[in-house]
Amino acid sequence: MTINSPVWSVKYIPKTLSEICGREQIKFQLKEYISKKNFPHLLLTGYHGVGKTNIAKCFAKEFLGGSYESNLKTLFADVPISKEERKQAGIRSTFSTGMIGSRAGKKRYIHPFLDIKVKPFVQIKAIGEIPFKILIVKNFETLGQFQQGFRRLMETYGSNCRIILITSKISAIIDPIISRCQILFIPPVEYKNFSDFIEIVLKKEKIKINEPALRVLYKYSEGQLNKAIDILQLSAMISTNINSEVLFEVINSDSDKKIKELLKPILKGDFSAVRTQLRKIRREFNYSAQEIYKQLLDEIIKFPFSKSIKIQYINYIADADFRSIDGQDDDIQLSNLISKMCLLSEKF
Amino acid sequence: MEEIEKKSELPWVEKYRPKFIKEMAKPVAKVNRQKVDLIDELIKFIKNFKKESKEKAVLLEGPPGIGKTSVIYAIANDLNMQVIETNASDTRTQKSLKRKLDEASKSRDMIDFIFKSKNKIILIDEIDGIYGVSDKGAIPTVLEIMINSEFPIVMIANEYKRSLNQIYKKVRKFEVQPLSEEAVIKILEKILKRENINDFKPKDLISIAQKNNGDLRASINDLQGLMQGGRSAESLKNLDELQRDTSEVIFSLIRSLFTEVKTLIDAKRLLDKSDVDYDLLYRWVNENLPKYINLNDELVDAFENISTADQIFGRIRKYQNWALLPYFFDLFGGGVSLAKKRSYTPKFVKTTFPEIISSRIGTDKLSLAKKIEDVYEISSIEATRTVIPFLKLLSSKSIKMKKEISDWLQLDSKEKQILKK
Repeated sequence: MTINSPVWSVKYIPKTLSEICGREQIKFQLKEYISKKNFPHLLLTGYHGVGKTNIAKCFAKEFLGGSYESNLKTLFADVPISKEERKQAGIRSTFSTGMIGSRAGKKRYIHPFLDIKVKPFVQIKAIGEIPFKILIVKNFETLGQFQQGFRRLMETYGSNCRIILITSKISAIIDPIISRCQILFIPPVEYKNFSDFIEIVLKKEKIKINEPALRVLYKYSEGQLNKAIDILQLSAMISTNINSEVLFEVINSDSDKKIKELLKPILKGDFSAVRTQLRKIRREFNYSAQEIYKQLLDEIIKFPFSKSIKIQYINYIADADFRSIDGQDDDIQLSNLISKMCLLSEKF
Repeated sequence: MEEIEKKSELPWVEKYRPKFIKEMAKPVAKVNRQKVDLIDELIKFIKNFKKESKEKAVLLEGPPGIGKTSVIYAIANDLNMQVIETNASDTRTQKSLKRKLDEASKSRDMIDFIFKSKNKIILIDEIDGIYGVSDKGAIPTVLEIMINSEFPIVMIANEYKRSLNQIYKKVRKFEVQPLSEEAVIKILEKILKRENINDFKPKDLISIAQKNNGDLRASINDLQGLMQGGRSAESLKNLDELQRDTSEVIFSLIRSLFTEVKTLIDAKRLLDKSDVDYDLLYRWVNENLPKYINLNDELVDAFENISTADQIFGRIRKYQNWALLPYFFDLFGGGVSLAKKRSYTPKFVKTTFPEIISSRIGTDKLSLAKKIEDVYEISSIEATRTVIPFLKLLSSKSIKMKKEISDWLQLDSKEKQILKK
């Protein structure tokens, strides 16, 4: 399935630990674990898109050897619960009485993540001649307060199943979890390894890229191989001989820029236009309010405003983010934020 | 006959509270996910109860209004026993609980002894309502009473509470299931027959039952409200019609909020008059606000107020502090409408429904996202954010690529459409 993929980032994804680009220190440590046939619970952290999950997967597959299919499971902590799981959880659901008004007596669910997704896997004994199973949990920080439920699990079933937690925000992980894990920081790829890796892709796809363009690609992708290969593929469709101009053409049409487009109507002070566009983005990409704040902040910092105006904008974003903690309706808080931003841009 | 007449003042819920088991809608319960006959099990437990028996208490858990309390009283009546009840309206400190239950549970006092009076059942209703400072020490007391009790104890709860873990460990838990729609309708029909009301529409009963999700108490209350609101054919407009014109009510309410309100008291009066769910109402205000206010500085004032209102509402929910509610009303009503000063409102403004944007993936994209999730081994959320836009871009570049992608992921026509957009 992956080898025949027309999408390069899937086709060229590293399939074993030794294929992984750079990061020799980490690779060495993980290979030691494999040869000793034992390792503690792991917590992999690093920037978004540096390949944490793939490293974890390659490691787990090599560790478990031939019997990995039944002994390895990957979970996403941030994926909403599906209908069937909801049904399963419904068996254990309760009815709320604490609230009055329209909510009274309605069903309320206990977070089914632990009960339905994690427990059944860790409780069952490992199959085959391996010491224990491996469970990979991605985006662990999104579990929030339910991280608490994990710590007992890690102790009770630790001998039966090792857990590899993956997160890009280590500050959001609670202390008891951190103390139970070996923490591995996965650094971004270095330029030398990056260019070596891209070289392989270039050879196989029979395309060329010049040195300055490769530097631009490295800088723009921030060491994220997936993103770099995606851009490379898009550029290759324009020309098989890639230079900086072709690259910039692709980068400018990059979908990551959607939030940046919001700044235009904000600077014009056109509130309704901003709100319509913002809602469109949220609907298309399923962003939560927090993610919007974060991206807005990134854009504002990069944008050439004067310092005092930047600070003012950042102040607004911080305030809105803070209010969203208590608030019930994200749309109201976002609207409040953009109305303030529009007013400020009217003034200068 | 006389008794019934006297009772006519009572709400129907009390009037028709079942006295004996045979009058009841038979509730079904589950123990460890096995269906059991609740009444049989309870009678067995109560009849076989001895001071020496191991099982001193049971717990009934289930949504409100399905007859948990009633079943205990009915059983007590059938077995000629007396129910000693404590519920959330009593303060249940260690002391007061102990006083009340100790008397009941231990001492068969002299009078009891002489007259050989009724046996007792101890009913601790709304046990999940035990919490906080005012009920301090109640749970250990309950546990202690359980050990020494001479009478069977029945506890009733609505929902799972972590603080009750101690109790869950020691008792058998019956999860009482909501009543079926048919059972609710049957009882409603019975009540109407006893009230001599014949001119009702069966459709009304069905919609009442559906609306209340197996909550019999709420259903009977609704029925009484509908029937005693005047039984003329006109007033018996069916329920969906009532529901339908709420949006009309909101339309005019929003309009007058922005065009007619001049003072805070006006705004308050306007909101008080409407019986629209305020949870929804402030979202309506948020949605339609920019249509009536179009100057940026006034918009900021208005949004500042509604955002604070939203914050307050969140805190009310979180801490169950309903004393904050007046601020909420003033801020999103008056606070918003009075922010409008110079803004010009066109004669005709189209009021629109609040748009609900969730961060959940829409059903149209879900199947595609799932396929990508399998191949890329990333979460479906990530798939909609990064991979789907990329695939869109890729397939827009060449037809050959489009075909390769759809062959690779084995897309159906619907999923191809998403990539086209």
